[in-house]
Amino acid sequence: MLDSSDTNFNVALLDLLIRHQEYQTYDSLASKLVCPVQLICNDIDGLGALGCRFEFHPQAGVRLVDYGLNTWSDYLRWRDEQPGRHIEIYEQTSSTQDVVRRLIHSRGRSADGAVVIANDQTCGRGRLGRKWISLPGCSLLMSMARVMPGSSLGGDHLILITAMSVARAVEKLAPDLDVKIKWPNDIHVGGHKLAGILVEQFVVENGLVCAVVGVGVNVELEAGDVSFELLRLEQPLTSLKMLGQNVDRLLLAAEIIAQAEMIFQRRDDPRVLAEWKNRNTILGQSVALKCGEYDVSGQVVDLDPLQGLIVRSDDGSMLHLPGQTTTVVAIHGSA
Amino acid sequence: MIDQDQLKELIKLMVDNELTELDLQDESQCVSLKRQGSAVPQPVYVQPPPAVMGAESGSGAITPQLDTTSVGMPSTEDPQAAIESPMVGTFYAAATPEAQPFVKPGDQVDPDTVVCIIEAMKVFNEIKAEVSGTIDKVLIDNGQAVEFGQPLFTIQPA
Repeated sequence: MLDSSDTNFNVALLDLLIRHQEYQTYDSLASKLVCPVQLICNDIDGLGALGCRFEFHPQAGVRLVDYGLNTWSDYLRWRDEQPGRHIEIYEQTSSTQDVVRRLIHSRGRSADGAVVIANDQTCGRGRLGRKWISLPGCSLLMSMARVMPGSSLGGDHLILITAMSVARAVEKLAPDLDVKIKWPNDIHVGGHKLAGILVEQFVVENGLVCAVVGVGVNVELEAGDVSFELLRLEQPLTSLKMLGQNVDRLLLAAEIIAQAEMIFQRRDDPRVLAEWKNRNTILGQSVALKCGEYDVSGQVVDLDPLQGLIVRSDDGSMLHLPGQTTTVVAIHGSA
Repeated sequence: MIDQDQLKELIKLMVDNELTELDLQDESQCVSLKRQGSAVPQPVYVQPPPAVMGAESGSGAITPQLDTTSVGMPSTEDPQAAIESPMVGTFYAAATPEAQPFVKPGDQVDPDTVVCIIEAMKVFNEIKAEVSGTIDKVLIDNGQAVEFGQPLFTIQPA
């Protein structure tokens, strides 16, 4: 686990350098941070000691080339509006889902909100234990703990909250994109999968209902990468880089955490539900579905995070398909 | 008034003969029983006129009308001897397609033993035995849809 908590560095300076990847003069940095130029120079040295790499120019100043993983946990805490969140960053781990699960077992209720991020996973997994393949440094691989009293919040709500969090975070950092939700748990842009969500729920010994919410976002993946070629065997795939978006993984992680907390607090707001519906790719579409052992085709006229889908079947009947056992087989387009 | 034992007899009659509906009527009472033909949650037909689902919907969406006329079937003759599904979803006996099942007949379990996963809305819920004993039978095929309260395993309690 990587942690810089025993060191002090200027997180605000790091934030400025990450957000503005072009050269900035020491004077402008000092002006923005309202501090002496000498302090900026010292703090840049401090960031360098943590593994940050810079390029210097005699007139243009300094630009950040790479900031490494040592700064991640402090940066995320600095951005976080929820004080005291437990954050762990790994260069490599088996699966962030497993690390969060361990945190829940060891910390109980206090693990709520804990975040684990890995630069690389050796045994990343998707649904049903399918392997989630990623190249080191190419994806945002993050899991968050939710420890809920009783069963007041179902995992299906967590899917909605997380899907919305990822969609909003991506759009905030890449405003050109129109991010959609492929019901219920995939994030799509232009019909291609950009991110996936995995929620695993269980009860620990003392009766606490716990969930591990995993997110994998394709950030730097490129066509031709081994992982891309393997993954696209299953479905059309994309990444922020392939979409022409230069999005920083650390900023994206901070934004997803912020959005998740905000949406979690407002989860009963009807506007959240309305936005979720609008982002769904299947609403209004002619689709093929599987409901248990039944094949159904028709137009999706409404959807509800808890109740499932309302479908006008091809014979004109209105059907309520329970979300728990319904899967989308194909989307044929607008009805 | 029909008593519980008579009701059980009628239910057994329906199950044994694969009846989905049974109506009995005499001068003093009327009994109507319905059951689904399989454990799979089926599409529920919604009757017009449509009602708006939520003020923000604006889509003329329809409130699902659940069929409340069905009489719930007893899960087993001895509910103490079964581990039942706590939710509607899809049953998975193992964590991954290649993995060994969580439990198999003859395995000893305690209340905290994970016996299966139920997937509901892409959320994977670990299901614990909640009782101590020995697994007798696995009643559900891997990947099969299950209903709330449906027996998943029979178990010889410790």
